[in-house]
Amino acid sequence: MFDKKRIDKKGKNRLNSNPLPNTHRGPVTEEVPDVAITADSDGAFASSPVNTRYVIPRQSGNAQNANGQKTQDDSQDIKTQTEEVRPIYSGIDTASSQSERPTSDVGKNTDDEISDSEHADKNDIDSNKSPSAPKEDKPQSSVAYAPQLKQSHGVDFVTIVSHQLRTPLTGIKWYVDLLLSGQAGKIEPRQQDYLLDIQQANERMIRLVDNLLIIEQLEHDKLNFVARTAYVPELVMSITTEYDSYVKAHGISLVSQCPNVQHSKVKIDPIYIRLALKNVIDNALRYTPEGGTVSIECSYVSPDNDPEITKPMAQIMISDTGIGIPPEDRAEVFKKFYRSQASMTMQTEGTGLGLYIAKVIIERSGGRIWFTSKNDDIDGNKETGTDFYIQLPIV
Amino acid sequence: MSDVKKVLVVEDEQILLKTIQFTLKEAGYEVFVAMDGDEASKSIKEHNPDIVLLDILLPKKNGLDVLREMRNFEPTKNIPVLLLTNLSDQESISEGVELGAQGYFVKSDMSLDEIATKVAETLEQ
Repeated sequence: MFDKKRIDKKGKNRLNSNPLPNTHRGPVTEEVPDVAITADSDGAFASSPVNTRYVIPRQSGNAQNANGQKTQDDSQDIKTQTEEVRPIYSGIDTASSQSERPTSDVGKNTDDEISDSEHADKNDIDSNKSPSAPKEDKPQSSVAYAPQLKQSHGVDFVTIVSHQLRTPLTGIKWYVDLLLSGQAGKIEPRQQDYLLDIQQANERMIRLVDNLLIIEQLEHDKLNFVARTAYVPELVMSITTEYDSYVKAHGISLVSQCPNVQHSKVKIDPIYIRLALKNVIDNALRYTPEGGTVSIECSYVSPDNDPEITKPMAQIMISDTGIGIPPEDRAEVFKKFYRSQASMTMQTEGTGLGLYIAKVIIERSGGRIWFTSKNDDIDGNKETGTDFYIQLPIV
Repeated sequence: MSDVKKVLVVEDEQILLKTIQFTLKEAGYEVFVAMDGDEASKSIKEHNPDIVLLDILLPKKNGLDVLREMRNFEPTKNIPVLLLTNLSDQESISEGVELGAQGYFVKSDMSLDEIATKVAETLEQ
């Protein structure tokens, strides 16, 4: 899968290609079929016949240790699988089902304009498929079978679209992960820099999709949480590791002090709280210059030492050594689409949605968020920086 | 009997499947893959995996239906399942939790290392 030859070829193509995206080709998951598949009515699990065509047991002797030989074996595994899975889709009569195409946007074939040769090129690179493979042999995008889930589970159009956007972004994220890890071969410093740039741009796009989905859910009053037990230190730890490459690339220190304290058990929707915390950390990192520090500190707060609360809280403080928030901006920070003057000066990226969404999520989780900020012009000292405080009720 | 744990990865997007498969193999697991719901059901029955990483939007049969079948079938009802999807709608999450999934993760939120860690943690429980 990661044999050097393929990687070199792809890298060369990337470096030599036009940096502007080819909008005609569409996203990676462009193999949208002409008709949605309906759910099997007779797919009873217990009676399913055994069929091993698509199952790839690990080759014996292909053990844990990563080395050149192992990588080669993996490559062969994937090729075998690619060839074998093709029949999964070959039973779909795309030609005869053209007239049955659903009229809704979900499940619609958006690829009509893409020629067979373009499909062939992509398949050749991605899957080692024959360039002459017929169109109906190509895997389908999951948007095609979204209608069945929509019908049975109420999944709406925006959710499906965000799913479709996230999927290629996840692919980029994970391949860059693998390349940066060195598991696909040695990476030169300049290549690493470029990969980090790709990773950051990709993370930004993922966050944008996440935030836009939340906005849509809010506007349609569909933001409902599925509360589960979680531990704040674990949550923080899992989030901070995602910023390793970012802080390295920007010369920023990200310090986390979240001991596994006894009172850190919260009942929250971890997916949403994770997004909220990331939005606040993103904001802190964005306004922290090279050489600065963002620190995250977890603690337990009881009503005895915080008159603002009536029950014990897990507190997360996210501090930065950035420029601080000018007094005139402080009342606006959590407003939707608000971006400070400083963001223009520093040319920071952002949509003005992150802190607004963080506040909504945290407050709907029974918590609260606020900040204190130092600004040398007004406060009469040379200190700058902002401390965001997040409190979540302990269970 | 081998101590190597068996992981079934159910993922219809090949670009994602490749990376997960590679990562879990590197972590020392025996990895099986399925690219649609029917195939997942068959593979679970045939290979009796120690854990299943299950996407939700799948061809032929969605992941929640696969999970439901697993929970209603005695030999597979206790196999841990981590739902790994790019859907983050409440209905899917709620149903996944109600059906007894051990975890529900949004793929774009997760690094490959985190996925391997979640698999290891779940298997230890």
